[in-house]
Amino acid sequence: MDLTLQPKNLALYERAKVLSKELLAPRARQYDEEARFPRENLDALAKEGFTRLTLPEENGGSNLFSDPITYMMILFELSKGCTNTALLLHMHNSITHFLMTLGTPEQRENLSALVRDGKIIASHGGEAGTSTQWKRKLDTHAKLVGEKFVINGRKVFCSMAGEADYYTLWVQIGDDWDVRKTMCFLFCSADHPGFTIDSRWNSYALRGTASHSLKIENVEVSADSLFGKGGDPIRVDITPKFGLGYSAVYLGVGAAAYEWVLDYARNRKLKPDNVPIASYQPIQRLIGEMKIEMEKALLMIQHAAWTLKTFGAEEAFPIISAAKYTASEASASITDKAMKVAGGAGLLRENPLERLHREARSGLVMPPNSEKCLDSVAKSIIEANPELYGTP
Amino acid sequence: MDFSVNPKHGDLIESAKSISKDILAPRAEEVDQESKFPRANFKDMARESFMALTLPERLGGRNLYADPEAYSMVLYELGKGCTTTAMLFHMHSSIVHILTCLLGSEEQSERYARAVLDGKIFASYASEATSSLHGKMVMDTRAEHTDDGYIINGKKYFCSMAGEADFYVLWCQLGDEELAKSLYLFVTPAITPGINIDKGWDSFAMRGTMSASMSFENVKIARDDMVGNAGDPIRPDVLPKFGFGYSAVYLGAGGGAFDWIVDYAKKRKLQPDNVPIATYPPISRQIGEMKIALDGALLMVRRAGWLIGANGAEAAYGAINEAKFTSAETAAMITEKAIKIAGGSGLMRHFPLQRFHRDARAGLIMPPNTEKCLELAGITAIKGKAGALMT
Repeated sequence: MDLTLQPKNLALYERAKVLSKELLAPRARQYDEEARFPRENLDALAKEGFTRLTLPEENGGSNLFSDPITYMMILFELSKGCTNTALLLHMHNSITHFLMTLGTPEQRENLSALVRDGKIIASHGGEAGTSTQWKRKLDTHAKLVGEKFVINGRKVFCSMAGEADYYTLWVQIGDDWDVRKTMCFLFCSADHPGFTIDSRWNSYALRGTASHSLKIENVEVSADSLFGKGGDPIRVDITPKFGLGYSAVYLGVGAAAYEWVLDYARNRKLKPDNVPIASYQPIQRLIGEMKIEMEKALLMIQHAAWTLKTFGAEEAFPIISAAKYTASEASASITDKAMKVAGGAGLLRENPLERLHREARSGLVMPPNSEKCLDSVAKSIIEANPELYGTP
Repeated sequence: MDFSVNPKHGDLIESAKSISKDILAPRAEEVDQESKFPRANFKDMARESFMALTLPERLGGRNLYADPEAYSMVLYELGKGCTTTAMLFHMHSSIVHILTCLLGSEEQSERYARAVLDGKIFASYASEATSSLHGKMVMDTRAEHTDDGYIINGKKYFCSMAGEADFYVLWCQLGDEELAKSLYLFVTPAITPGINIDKGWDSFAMRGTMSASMSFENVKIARDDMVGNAGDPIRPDVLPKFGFGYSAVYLGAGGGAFDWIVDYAKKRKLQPDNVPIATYPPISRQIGEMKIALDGALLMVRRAGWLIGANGAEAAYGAINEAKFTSAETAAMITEKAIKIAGGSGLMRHFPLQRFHRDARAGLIMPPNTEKCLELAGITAIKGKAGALMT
C-alpha cells in the first residue's frame, strides 16, 4: 500500500485546494440562495484548465481519467468549497471523457477544440418515472431524416439546462426497445430553438445546478452528431465512472461541514467555563466519530479509483457502489453531527452548515442511491465470481 | 497510490489464510468451549515458522513488523479462523519484536531469538488493577536491585497465557520516579519460583487466552534479563503497535462471521419459497451493509499500518485509534447482523457465530476501548497534529 498521490498531477490537486478556498467557497452561499448557475466559477475553472481535465494530452488536456485517484481528490477538494460547482464540473469532465472515448478522430478533434475554447458540455440522460432497465421505450427518440437526426422527447434533471453550451442527449434510435442496442449519445448545440425548459429547478439542495426539465421538439442535428453506437451510454466501462465522481463530490460536503465545525469548536467559548467547547469530552467524541467516518469514506473512494484504474470499471463496479454508499452516508451523518456541535449557529443561513446539511441529503438520492448501492454490493457477493470481488 | 500488498510478504498472507482455515478454524470451538490454551495451534504455527515472523532477518525471522500492513493482514486472516489464537500470536509476536528489534542488546536479542526459534512462547504483562498507564503512578509490581540482579514483587491482571507461555515479560517499576524514568521490562522463565496464578480465567469471550491474575513474590531476575532503558515500554514508537494489532485481530471476528453467514445465506432455503434466503431483499441488503463495513474497516487497518511504516507509530497514533474504533465497532455490528440472518442457527454452539459474537464484544473493550479511541481521535483532530501519547 502507498497512499501518496501521483507526483505528476500534484500541482493540479494543490491548485484545486487553493481555488476551492479562495474562489469557490466565498460564492457558495450566494449560488445556493439565489438558485443561480455558478457561471463565474466555471469560467474561472475553464481558464485554469479544470474543464480540460479529462481531455487527452495531445488534445490539450490533463488526461486525468488515467489517474482517477487524483481526479477524485480534485473533486473532493473543489466540493468542499462549492458542491454545485464540483458536481457540474464532474458532469462536464465525465461526458467529455466518454465522448472522446467513443468519437471518431474528426469528432474528437472538433470536440476538444470546443472544450479548449472553454465551452461547457452537459449530459442529459434522466427521464420521468423510469430507471435504466434493458427493455423500455425512451421518451426521447431520434430519427434519421436524410442527412439529419430529428430529436423529440423530454428529459428531466437536466443539470445546466439553459446554461451549458452543448447538450449530450441520451436518445433511442430505431424501434427496438432494448436500450443495450438502441440508446445512443447525440451531441447538440444548446442554442437550438427546439429546446424549451418546461419545469424549472427549485429544489431543497444543489440549488445552483439548474437541473431543469427540458422539452425537445424537432431538434435537428447533423448525422455526425452521433458518438459511438447503440448501447454505448450504458456500457459497464462508462456509467460507473459517474457514480465514483459523485462519491467524491458528496464526501466533500461532509468534509466541509467537518472542517467548519472543527474550527468553530476550537474557538467557541461558553460562560462560565470560558474554554473552547472542543475541550468538552462529548464534543471530542463527536469530532472523533466525524473524523473516522470521513477518513474511511475517503479511503474507500481512493480504493475504488485504484481498482478502476488497475482492473477496469467492470471489476470496480461493486467497489464503486460501496464507496458511493459510504461517502454519502458519511456526509449525511457528519452534517447531522456538525449541527449538534454547533447548536443554534448551525441553523443560521449566514453559516454554511445548513446548506451542507441539505446538500448531503441529495447525496443519498443521487444515482446510484444508497439503497441501490447496497443492492449492487450484495449481488456482487451472492451472484458473482467470488474471486473477483473478494476482500483485497 | 497503490492498494496492493507488498509482494515481499504476499506468501505470508497466503500461508496465514490456509493456517487459519485448515488448522485454527477446526479447533476454535474446542478452544472456546473448554477454555483451552491453543497449544496445538502454536506448535503447528511454529512448524510454519510463524512464531518467528517478527524476529530480525539476521536472527532467523522475517522482521514482519517492518511491514505493519502485511503483519495486520496476517493477523486478520488468522483471526477469521480463531480470534483467541490470533490475539495470543500477536502478543507473542509484538513482545518478541520489542525485545529483539527495538530494545534488547545484541546478546539479549540473540538469546531470546534462540528461544523463539526453539518454539518458546513469550507473554507480556503490563496491566494492574484499577489503573491505567499514566505518567505518574505507583505500580503494584516493583523491582529492586540485588547483588546479582533484581527481585520482583507485585500483582498483574489480564495476564494472557498465564501458566502456558514459556517466558513472561513483566512491566515493572524500579525506583519511585514517574513511569518515563522508572518503567522497565524484565524477562523471566515461567518456571521461576515465586510466580503464582491467583485467579483463573473464566470469561464470556476470548476464553482460550488464559488471561489469569498473577502474583509475584520475590521473583529473582538475572541482571542480563532487564531489557532497555527506563520508560522504553511506553515510548510512543513502542506502545501504540499493540493497539494496532488488536484492530486487525478483532476485525477477524467480523470477517469470520461474514464468510460464514454469506455461505449460510446462499445455501439455506425455507419452505415454501425454496430459494436461498440470500435472495430476499432484506437479507441481501444486510449482506451489502456488512461487506461495505468490513472492506472499509480493513482499509482503515491497512492505512494505519502503512502510516506506521511510512512515518512511525507516533505520527500514526491518530490513524491507529481510528482503525481500532472502526474495526471493533464493525466486528460487533457484523456479528450482530449475522446472528439475525442466521436465526436460531446463530445461537447454536456447534456453529461459530455465537463465538464470533462474543469475541467481538471483547474487541470493544480491549485497550484502547472504543470510547477511548473516539476521544483520542477527537483530541488528535482538534490539536491538528498526531497528538502526544502520554499527557
